[in-house]
Amino acid sequence: MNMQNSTEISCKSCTSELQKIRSTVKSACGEFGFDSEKTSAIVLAVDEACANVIRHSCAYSDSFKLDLNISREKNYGVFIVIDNCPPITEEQLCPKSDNPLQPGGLGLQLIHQVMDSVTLLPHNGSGNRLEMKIKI
Amino acid sequence: MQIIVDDFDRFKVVKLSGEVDLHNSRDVKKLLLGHLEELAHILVDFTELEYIDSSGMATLVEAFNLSKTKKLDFHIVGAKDAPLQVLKLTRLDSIFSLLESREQALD
Repeated sequence: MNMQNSTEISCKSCTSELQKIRSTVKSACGEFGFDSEKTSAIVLAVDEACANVIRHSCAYSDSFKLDLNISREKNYGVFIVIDNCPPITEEQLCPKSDNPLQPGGLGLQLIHQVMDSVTLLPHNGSGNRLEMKIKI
Repeated sequence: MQIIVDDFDRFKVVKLSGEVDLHNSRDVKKLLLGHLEELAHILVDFTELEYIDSSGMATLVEAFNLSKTKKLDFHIVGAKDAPLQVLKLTRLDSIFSLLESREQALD
């Protein structure tokens, strides 16, 4: 994989696709030069983002599409998850309680902990675009 | 993901191998909660676990909370690498009982 260009994968909004997504992210992190600990964290964050799409945006329906675009932007690795599910806002996402034993919001918390910036925007009026950046 | 269940002293050992994610964490949940409902003390063996996501962690939290309600022991054994990293990121490493070996559960 040549990370001077972007890498894209497209799949159904289905939990069985998550393993393929993690494998793709892991390969990209190797190309970026991240160490194994950072790579594991990034794989987790992107997996959580895609799982959130499947669970919350698509409500476990596999009739939607999920695209992952990975690229390098100056000194940042950029991971963009695009879906064609009904648009959601950050306010709709459940914030994590300070108590680790309270359910809900754990995936979003992990994404914010790992990534340097996280931006959720509507995508072309018919989906969502989550952009995550992390310094290389 | 593969789940093997066996017995160790008074414990039911639930050994997880491979990757636990949104695709299969419900299987882990069903099994763990089922054993707790039968009043089994639980050891969750992570020694061959390569990956676990937040849905897997949420499953462990639910099982841990049920174990407290039922006054049962609940330990995690052999957490390392990526799964240990997730435990630390979620601060659950300070809440769960993390053991290096099954034998430590007998202390």
